[in-house]
Amino acid sequence: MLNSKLQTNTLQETRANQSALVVGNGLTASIVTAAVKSLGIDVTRSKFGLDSALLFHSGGRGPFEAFVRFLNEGAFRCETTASSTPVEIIPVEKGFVVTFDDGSRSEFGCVFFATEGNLKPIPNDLPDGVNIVTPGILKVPSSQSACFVLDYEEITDPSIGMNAMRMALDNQLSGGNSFVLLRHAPVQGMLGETLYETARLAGVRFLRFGNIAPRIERLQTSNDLSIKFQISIQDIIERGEDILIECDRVFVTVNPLPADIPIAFKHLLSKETDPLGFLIQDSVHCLTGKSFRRGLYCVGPSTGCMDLLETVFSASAAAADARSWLGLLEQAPSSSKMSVSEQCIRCLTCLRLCPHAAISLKSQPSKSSVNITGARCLECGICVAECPRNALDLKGFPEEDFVTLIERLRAQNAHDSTVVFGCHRSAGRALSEIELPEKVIFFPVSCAGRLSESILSATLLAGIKGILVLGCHHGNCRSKNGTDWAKARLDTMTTRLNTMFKDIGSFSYKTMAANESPRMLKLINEFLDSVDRIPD
Amino acid sequence: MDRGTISNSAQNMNRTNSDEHSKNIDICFTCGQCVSRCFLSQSYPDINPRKIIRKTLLGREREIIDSEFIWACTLCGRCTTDCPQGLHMDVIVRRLRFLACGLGKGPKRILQGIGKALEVGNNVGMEPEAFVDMVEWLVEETTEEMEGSENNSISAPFDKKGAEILYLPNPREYTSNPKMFQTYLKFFSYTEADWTLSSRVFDITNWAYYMGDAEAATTLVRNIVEETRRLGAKILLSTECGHGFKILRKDAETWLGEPLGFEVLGIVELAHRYLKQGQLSIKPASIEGRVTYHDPCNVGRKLGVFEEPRQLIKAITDDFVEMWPNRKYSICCGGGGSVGQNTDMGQKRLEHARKKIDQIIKTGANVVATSCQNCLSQLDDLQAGNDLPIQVKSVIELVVESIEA
Amino acid sequence: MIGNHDRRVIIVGGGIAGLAVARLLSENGLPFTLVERSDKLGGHTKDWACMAVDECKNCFCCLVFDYEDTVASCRNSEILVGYELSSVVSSDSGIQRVKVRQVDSGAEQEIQASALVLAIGFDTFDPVDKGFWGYGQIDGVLTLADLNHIIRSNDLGKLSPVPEGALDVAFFQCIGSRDKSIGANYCSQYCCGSAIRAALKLIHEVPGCNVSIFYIDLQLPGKTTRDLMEEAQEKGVRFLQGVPGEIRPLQEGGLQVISEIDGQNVAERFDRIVLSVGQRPSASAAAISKILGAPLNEFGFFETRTLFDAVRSPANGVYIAGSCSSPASIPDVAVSAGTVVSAIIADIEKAS
Repeated sequence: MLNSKLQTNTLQETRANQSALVVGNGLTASIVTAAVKSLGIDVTRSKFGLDSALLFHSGGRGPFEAFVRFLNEGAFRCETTASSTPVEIIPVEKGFVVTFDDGSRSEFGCVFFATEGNLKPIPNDLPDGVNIVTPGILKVPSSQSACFVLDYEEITDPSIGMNAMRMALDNQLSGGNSFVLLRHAPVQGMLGETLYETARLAGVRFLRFGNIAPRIERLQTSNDLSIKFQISIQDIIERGEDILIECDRVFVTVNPLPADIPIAFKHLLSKETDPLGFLIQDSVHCLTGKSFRRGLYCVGPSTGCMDLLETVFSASAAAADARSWLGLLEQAPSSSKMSVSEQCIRCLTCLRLCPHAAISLKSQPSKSSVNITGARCLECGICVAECPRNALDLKGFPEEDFVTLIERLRAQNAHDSTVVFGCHRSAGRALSEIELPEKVIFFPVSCAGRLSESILSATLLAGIKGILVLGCHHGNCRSKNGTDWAKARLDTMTTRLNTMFKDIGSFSYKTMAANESPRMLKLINEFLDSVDRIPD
Repeated sequence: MDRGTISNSAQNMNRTNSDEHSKNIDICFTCGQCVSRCFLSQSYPDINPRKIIRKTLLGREREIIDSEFIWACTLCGRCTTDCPQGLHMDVIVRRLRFLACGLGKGPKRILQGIGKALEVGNNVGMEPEAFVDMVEWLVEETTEEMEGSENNSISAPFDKKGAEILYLPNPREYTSNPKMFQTYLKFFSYTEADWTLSSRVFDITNWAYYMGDAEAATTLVRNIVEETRRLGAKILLSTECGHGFKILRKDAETWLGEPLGFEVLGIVELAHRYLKQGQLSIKPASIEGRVTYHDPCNVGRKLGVFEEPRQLIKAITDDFVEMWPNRKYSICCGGGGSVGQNTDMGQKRLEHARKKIDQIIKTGANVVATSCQNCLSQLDDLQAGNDLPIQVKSVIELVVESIEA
Repeated sequence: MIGNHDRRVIIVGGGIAGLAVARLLSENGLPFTLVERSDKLGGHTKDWACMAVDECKNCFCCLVFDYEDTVASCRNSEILVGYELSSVVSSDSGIQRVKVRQVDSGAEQEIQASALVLAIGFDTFDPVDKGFWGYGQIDGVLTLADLNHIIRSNDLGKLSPVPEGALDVAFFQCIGSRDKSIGANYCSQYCCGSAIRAALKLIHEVPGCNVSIFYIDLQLPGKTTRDLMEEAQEKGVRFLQGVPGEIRPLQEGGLQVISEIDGQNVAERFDRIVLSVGQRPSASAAAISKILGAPLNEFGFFETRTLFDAVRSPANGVYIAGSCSSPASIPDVAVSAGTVVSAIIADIEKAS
């Protein structure tokens, strides 16, 4: 059973499968630690990365500092943390084995990356003395004038933009004079609009520029101590001559910058990034901080999210998911979903390919073995299809089912039939809303990635008209790249078979989603048409 | 003390003027809806309501004050109908006009009219004796016209204390278009109304309102209100005059800062009241041809009087058709907000009304009814200028015709 | 393995928020009873279309099927479709018993529960109330929801007035959002991304389709939404600041709108105009608020305790998930549902 007893320092005593490691030094790690701890999970928080908080508070009420106080003094009270830094994190059967820089080694059920991020540098065409907008509250000396420039090089992240707006408002209310120059006013959250209006009514001046960014220059002043800027901007609605603004301070907003992944975590994290390089993919399967490697979570600026509230809530959501994961880890018997035969030569192809980190190597003096974490395995079958020794099989979607299908096709002499292999998550789900055309056999698979070249060729060689493979859309596969594996295999087969056999049935690969029933029918009919057009 | 400034508009950006107005328009977040709702947007392609607000906020309102646009604007209020931020463009333009007048850029004819109204009590400068003479002559004319009909005789009581209704005409009725006055005389006669005219106050219009001159506008309203009180009328009855009716109904109490103590009613509303009480001897299907109704901006959009005129029209014709859009979304006739009276604008009001003409043609109606003298006059001009196969009539005109049918 | 099996949670609403909460509760060993008033689970999301164009564009709509599949197989749990909340017994410390009513028959049944999650979602804004856009009056004016239904039925061919002809489509953003005149002065959070995805979809699926997006301020949160906008720009989508306030049907067919482009008022013709309708509080929010004593905020959504405690209602034992507490995109809903489950478990932990 879970208990709320806290064990943040004593690494060795932590029961592996009921504990979490939170990696990070800053506010994000505090937030995650608090969220995980509140669910009765033992937390070890270990040092890593920057201390500085980079989360922007984008809400409409209350200052940023109040939250930090709330976090430190309130129900989420956080203790000091382990002083050591992880140098290696390896997925194992019951979680992760983590090696620290002091040489100690420990097992954890789940790992949270909650490191602080960084912001892009000030655009280099800007003069000296221009600042970037940071999460803290601006303390411009009273009665100074400050200009906040959003969307300067690229559209500003809304949470950062809203922070700039709040800074402008604070400056205005404390006797200063604020200008905000932007393309898009950020109005995130239910109270964003209210904040924007409050700022306008308080006297903050908003100017909207178009394709031409405002020109910011530093003025020569007689008094060396004072800095002055002159900004010229055309308001795209007013459309008159450029407007000139003179002010004491200029702040520009810059967007988050993806951090380099340390070598120590590269094997774990390098495939878990989005196209911009931030941690965890932008995927339907990676909401609330989940990665494809089950038990591994990423929250906060390292994921590109600079929003304090969003980070607080996604930390809570990730914690709830982690708690269920820990439960699963405890319950699930290993290898329940997969079998490994004697054919296995421990080439570790499966270990490298598994998107969920479900496969680990159990080193034994006599004979090491490939080990499958039942809790992690989602039965995509990528490993089964790619195993060079055919040593693996999925218990839920066994090889013999395919053999039966192929035998049936042979027996029926089904040369006028077409086989549609479809991922059960998309095509399998959409099937219930359509009626299949005659002579179409639908065969659901756990993931298109399960369809090995041998299954595909054997089916085709059974004498049917053709095979249509319906995978999930690229980027939507529950096993990250199962659908891409299917495509790659079909592409290879196209080249290979076309040169070998001229009269063989045709095959095609298409992608779809569960809510595309009408389109699924269209894809099947289009395929049937294309098959029919091939002369006998 | 160093303050951020926009160098060419320093005083505005620093808000040294404590003008509530500029504070109010700050709530504009440039959504742009008003741009397309303005019927002038294609006639003046480089200016629009949103730009006016923007220029005002950026201290460049002089450019607008110098522009023709503020005089072409009919204050129809359509651009800011359903404005997400609840702005009222007519208020903004009236203020700009006032600033323009202060710079000597006001339209002469209108300013003269305001002068006359303040001096004599009406914008045409007609002395009370002349008005009484004119009315008496019109009573005679009407009586002659009606000779042989079984209806009651025509009369026009003056300054009758304790009369239920004080009727307030538009000068057009006793100058350029006396037919209208005769129509109302007949209406009062047929409905046996207990009414009176005032020999002192007989002009419902308020051109000072058009020019954003709040002080003069209030003076004119006060004259009317005090006269109504003096005569002890329960109802101050507005003729079919959009802005006059709207000001008395909607603005008078605010401007004077006190309750009026009597009811302000439009003559169409009175007719509708009679209809509901069965006091209107109209005849169903007594109007020939298809009838459509043009919502005057002041009566419709600003006062919400949509259904009364329609129910009256439907009571006398079987063939009523709506223009689209209508009611609060109705397109302005193009002649309101002083544009019809502003001789400096020449005939531009007719060129600007293309959308209204298209809308009317689309209905296929033979009769366009409305309930505002300004709209009537503009629609008449549109009919004549474009040879439209339509007749333009006031709602009360149709009612009287139906009673006589 | 997780204790408190007796702690049943009532979930009101079987849309994506309710399903997400149910799934995560169940995975954490907590039994639930999910009550859905309509005859199907999935809510709005179920009716929306997949926005993939060769690859997934992260519209997240398919998530509802994943959730539904998991929820359908949850043990110790119950799904009541065609039922609504009728009354509750609560004490100072929270919810004790809940009565639900079958919508058709009116038959009531009682459920023992320790917590109640509100996940009743939102209503889409009905643009009929805004006559200027002529929705329901003018052919060719549709809502983003309508467009999704067309895409979902694979009927995009119907959009082109002339088969094989060019198709000019405009999206109007913030229809029923950021609008004080109807009490909706908030951003609806989902529409900018949805419109951009739909634009890419149209360009991909309909040859000769040109898309213009009229906006006030683009809101592009999330990891890759800004890239999506750049992709749309590269594919020729025009982004124009300022939403036209009126649509006029043209005699010769098509729709005319006037907007300010490069400082000039320009009239343009479109074949179809898509109104990106915002999220309004659910019509049943007021009644449910009364039943539970769970207050609503100034906009009509369910109030939560503080900015940081954004899933607990001031009414004890009541948790608010998804778009019934504030307008939300699907990722927002997923996070909110996770936060609700986290709060429920944390409260149980605290109590034990």
